[in-house]
Amino acid sequence: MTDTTSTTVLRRHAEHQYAEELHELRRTDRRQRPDHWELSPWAVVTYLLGGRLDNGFEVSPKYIGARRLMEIAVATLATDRGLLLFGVPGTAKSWVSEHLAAAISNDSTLLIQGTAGTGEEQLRYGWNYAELLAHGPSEKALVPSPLMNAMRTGRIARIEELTRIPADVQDSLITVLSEKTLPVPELGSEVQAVRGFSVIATANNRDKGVNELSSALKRRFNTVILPVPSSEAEELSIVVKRVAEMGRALDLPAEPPALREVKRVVQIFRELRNGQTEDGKTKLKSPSGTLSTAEAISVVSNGMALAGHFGDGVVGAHDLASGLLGAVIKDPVQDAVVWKEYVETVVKERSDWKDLYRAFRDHG
Amino acid sequence: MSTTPEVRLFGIRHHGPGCARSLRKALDEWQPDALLVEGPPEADALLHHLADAALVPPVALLVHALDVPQRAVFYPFARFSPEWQALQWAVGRGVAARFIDLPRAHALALDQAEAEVPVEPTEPRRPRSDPFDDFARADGHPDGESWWNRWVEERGDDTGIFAAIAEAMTEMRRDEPPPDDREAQREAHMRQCLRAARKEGFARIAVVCGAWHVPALQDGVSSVKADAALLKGLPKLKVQATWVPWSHRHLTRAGYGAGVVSPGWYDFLWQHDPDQHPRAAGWLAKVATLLRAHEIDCSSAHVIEAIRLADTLATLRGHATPGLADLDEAVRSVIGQGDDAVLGLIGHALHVGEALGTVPADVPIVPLQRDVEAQQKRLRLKAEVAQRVLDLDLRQPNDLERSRLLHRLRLLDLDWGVPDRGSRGARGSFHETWRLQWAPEFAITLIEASRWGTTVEAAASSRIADRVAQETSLPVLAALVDDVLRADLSGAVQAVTQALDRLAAVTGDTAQLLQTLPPLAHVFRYGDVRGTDTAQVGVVLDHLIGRAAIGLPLACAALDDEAAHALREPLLAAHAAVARRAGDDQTAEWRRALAALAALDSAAALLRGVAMRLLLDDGVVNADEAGIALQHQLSRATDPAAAASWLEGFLNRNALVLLHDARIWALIDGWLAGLGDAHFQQVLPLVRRSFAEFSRSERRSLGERAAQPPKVSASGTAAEGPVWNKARVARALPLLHQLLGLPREATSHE
Repeated sequence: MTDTTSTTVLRRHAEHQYAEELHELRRTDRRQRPDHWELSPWAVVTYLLGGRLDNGFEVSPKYIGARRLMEIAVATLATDRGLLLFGVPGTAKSWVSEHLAAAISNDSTLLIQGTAGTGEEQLRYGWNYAELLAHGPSEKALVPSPLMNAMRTGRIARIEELTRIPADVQDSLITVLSEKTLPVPELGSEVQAVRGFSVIATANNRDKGVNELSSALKRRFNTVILPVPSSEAEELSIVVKRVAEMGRALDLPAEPPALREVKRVVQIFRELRNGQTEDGKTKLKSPSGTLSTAEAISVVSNGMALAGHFGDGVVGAHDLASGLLGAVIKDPVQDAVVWKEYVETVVKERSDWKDLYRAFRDHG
Repeated sequence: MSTTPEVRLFGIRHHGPGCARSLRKALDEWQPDALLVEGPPEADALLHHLADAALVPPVALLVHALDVPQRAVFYPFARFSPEWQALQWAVGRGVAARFIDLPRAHALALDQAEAEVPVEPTEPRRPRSDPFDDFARADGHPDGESWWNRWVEERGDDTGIFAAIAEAMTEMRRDEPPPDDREAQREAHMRQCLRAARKEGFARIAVVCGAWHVPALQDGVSSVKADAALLKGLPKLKVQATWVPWSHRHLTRAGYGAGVVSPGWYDFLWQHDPDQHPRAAGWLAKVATLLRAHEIDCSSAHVIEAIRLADTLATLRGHATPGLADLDEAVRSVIGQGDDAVLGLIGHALHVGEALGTVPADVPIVPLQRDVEAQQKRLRLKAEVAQRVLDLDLRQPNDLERSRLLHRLRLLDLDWGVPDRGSRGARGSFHETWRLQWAPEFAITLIEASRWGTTVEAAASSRIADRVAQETSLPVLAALVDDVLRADLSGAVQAVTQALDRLAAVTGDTAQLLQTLPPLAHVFRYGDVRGTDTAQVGVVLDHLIGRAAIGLPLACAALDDEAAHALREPLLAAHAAVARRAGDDQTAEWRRALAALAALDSAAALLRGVAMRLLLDDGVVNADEAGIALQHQLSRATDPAAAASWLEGFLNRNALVLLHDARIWALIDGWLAGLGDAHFQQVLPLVRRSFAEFSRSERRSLGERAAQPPKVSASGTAAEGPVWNKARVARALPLLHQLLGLPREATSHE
């Protein structure tokens, strides 16, 4: 069975990893809590964004970004509306969802992973067929879904990748979200949600097309779009931190690259993503790919692997160039034009980027 | 009665609806018999217009120097401005009302003395380092704006607020350095006016001024003598004041010191009656109406959920009622699926609003009008209702200035003069023909245009800047460069070309890019005639050529016939434009793009043909290479329809290459002759179409040439000369000999 104290678990649930912080917050939280909430909305915001409690306890930030987004998310759940976290891959949607559930319900495990094969029984309830055949439909034969459990106990249910779930299955959420009830026609009964129940769904707004939400379902969610990091400094610190961690985990032979190289990669990513140079003087076309922070991290660690195995162990322009090209040019025609324009009008002009320019020319 | 008059100071924020509401209530309760308002005393005579129903806010009091109209100041009023409400109250009840700020006659003169300082629409009302921000931060707000909104403007009516404001301001100004000269003079003048009003025997004097000035107007701050000394010997200008229509957009921060971020929100706050329905409901109903007008679904359920979220957000942030930020976020999250697009669509109409004021017909005229009249007089151009034609020689300074004036007025939508057809595009010519006709409604156009500036030049420049900011079509912008150069607005040229550059960077539409090249190249090449600086245009032109060259081959790929034909003219025009630019780098870049296009199999055959022809004409490929390409394109494996299109492009409505290159002639001839019946019928209309575009004489020459038996000229050199009818030639020879004075013996001609 699950042994939460064991250190061999690859990754622990948020409510276990940050149990001490949650405990301290609960202890000092004097403000009004909605029914079945473990913390007041104010304390939930503090848990997410970090801060110092009245008793001097330091809460670490879980989400680095705009405070108002977290405020909207918490306020949404406090008004018993469903919360839909939208964003391109790598913008911490699931991370925020997990921590919200951990802070509000002290339980982030009521999770439904959305896939193309997710069926209604995973969303609503299934049957224990042995029991069903032996004794007919009964409470005992019913296998509740995490959603049903959350409704019974007034906790937060999480649905990952909502837009990957087939549309007809998605629609079974509508009644749950608006009537707050889950009928069980086989038993002639229903499960009514207890106060405190709500749903946090995450979806990737790049593949809206997979199974776009019906407008009826959309209407039942408040949407928060989690953006890519807003400043270069913020993004740079995330990339440097993750690259160092990954280098250790994968035993990469190269030294983590100098800050200068990482900074250039981050700058190229930001400039192309934002469609303008950092100094705001030149507008640029944006390529079709996401260019998320996660991809920047993989370009740098890829460069490290190249330099370590095939180069001199020091990450240079040539080690980064091929990874960068692969990350930027997703569409061989349009993106190639974008990239060529960028290299010729921006990279070429920067006197201290000569090595990069040459590397790009060689690879292009 | 000579009891000491009672004075109350009402410190307000200009354009603060909460202040306006509280002030109105305070005036009703207290019933003062005199009202002093921070504003230009020169406008006292205009106060009677307040009773006129035709004066509808937003309007502005405009005070300007009579001789230097660009020395001007606007005092805007919206209906939610406390000053407007106070003045309305006073004028409606016959209570004495007057302005007490330092007369603009002095202020403008001082401005002029300081010189070179750009004209600000109105003086900054707050000191540079904003002490409001410090106050706000102490209270847990991000900045002074949101703090003030929260505590003053978004509250209900509360007459106690003024005592609180006075106290807060006194506290705030205690640690501030003493006011600068100008502010000291202004406050001294306000105190002097207050003293004068006391002497006149009013019993209850209400003073409405910016909250900042309240501490300075309290009793015993300064003596009569000190104030008189401050105001002694100030320079003076002759000024005039008038009412002009104003708009909510002009009330926003852009270009106005005491502007407000969201006039739409303030207007709503002013109108809104909290007893009737909660604030969030009223505002979100407005949002829903606007969204539905844009055909975006927004049900009542959306509105209800947005209200709940906004209220919860306000609570979470520690406020009793939701503010604008909470409401915007609720709209974004509930209705807009988290996206800014929805607010972007209705944001302007919602936050700013389109309200436009009106003024009565009998107000004095605006300085822009004065400027136009002065220029008409100086340039001897009379405003006449009858139409007349004006021929301008741009080498004459006076005519050049006339042309500038007319072009500038056109940029302000005042079509007094309309350039005569044919004169456009003839920049190389020194002549310009105009049809002039004045219409009475131009007066209104001028008053409307006066919001853009006080002189024709300034107004046209800011009008262009505004248009440029909104324009998204490259060809229109490129044409605008031309207009702006003709109007000689050097400042605006920069704005337009920069916008062009920005837009070109993000456009994916190469066809549009191609279309921008000719007008720009024209300006670049011939702009000098008017003595304008075209270096900037050159830089942008080079950028555009570069971008067009990169995008060209791709833009010509995967086009149907119609699209390919549509692109032919822009391509030819762009080629001519690049030639006009006459820059080595640009030409080389462009030719590389043409070569890539000619070689790109997926590109439209017509355009590939055009590209090959242009390269041949430029001498980039020689006749041999062109012959190989022609043979390749017309070879049997090629679809005959595509081959015909290629040929049409290659011939380019010009038969010379056919007439003069026997080899190409032979190739085409061979291709046509080798087609099977079915193919020939398929190709015939296409080939006919390309030949139909040749001139008559070219067609006749071709016909004559075709009638000759095919000459085998394996060498591929140019054909021999024309075919002579020897008998006829011989008859002309004797006379020629006589004319040229040649000896008779030389008759042995071939």
